[in-house]
Amino acid sequence: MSEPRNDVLELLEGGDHSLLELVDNLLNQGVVLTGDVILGVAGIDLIYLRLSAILCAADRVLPSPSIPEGEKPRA
Amino acid sequence: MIYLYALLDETPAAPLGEGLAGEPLRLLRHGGLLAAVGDRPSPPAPGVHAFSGHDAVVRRLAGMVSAVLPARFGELFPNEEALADKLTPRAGELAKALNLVRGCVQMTLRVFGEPAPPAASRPEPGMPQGPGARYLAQRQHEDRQARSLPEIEPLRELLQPLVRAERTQRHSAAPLLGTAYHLVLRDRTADYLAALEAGRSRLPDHRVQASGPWPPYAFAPGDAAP
Repeated sequence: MSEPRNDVLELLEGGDHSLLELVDNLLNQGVVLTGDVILGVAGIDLIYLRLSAILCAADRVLPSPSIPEGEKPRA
Repeated sequence: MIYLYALLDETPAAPLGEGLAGEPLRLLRHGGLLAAVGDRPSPPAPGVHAFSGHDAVVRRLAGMVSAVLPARFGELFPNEEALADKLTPRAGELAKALNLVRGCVQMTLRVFGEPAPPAASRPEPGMPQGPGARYLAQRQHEDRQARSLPEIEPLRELLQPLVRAERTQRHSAAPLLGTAYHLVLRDRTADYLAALEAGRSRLPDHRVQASGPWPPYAFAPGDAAP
């Protein structure tokens, strides 16, 4: 069974940080016409807070940047 | 029901392909705008698969036209008339946004570290200095502070020639200080990343994490867009 820290490292170094970016883009950005939020206000807030928390965790567990230059996040 | 994926500036020459649930995509024209939509019986269930699917559809559409405005996940309308009712009044604003993003992609910078000392609020020359005016000026200053990202100022000189537009967002979850979204020409993203690498030494106290290229999600006007 993997340790939590290893899980975080795997998530962050495995390119899945782009999944967090994806969630940010799809839930916090984009054209909004309806004015309604399909997930409910609370759902959006929770997901967004988790995004921030994980990104902050990234900064704490990864002292040096690991940015694949020119990497396309997800096709 | 009509599910909106994106707004386009032109009719793609290639077939639009399928949407999230394998539904054929089609174009609706309202108020001079082209909406790429799919027909589905219910809202998509949020989740990694659906998010990735939505993004994949937007990316495919973005590759077919010169300008695309992605819709936020979950933009669902009961019928075409309901979509038209929402789209038409905002046609001017959306057309302007399409012009802005034409030929561009979005690059995202997350900035980590200690916040820069806040700039002091200065009264504007010639502004009335009554208590009400001071209160409003302070509110305006706080609003600007909430959206500013002075920590990346040393990078801006390098990135500026490559950035058509910038949106910034400040966060309250330190050490994540904020996010800068940059519009960059599609064929200049490598130059943008190279400029960023070259500028890292200018930010010894902060870490900057880049991602992209993305479709220009952050440059699509939303209800809460500043």
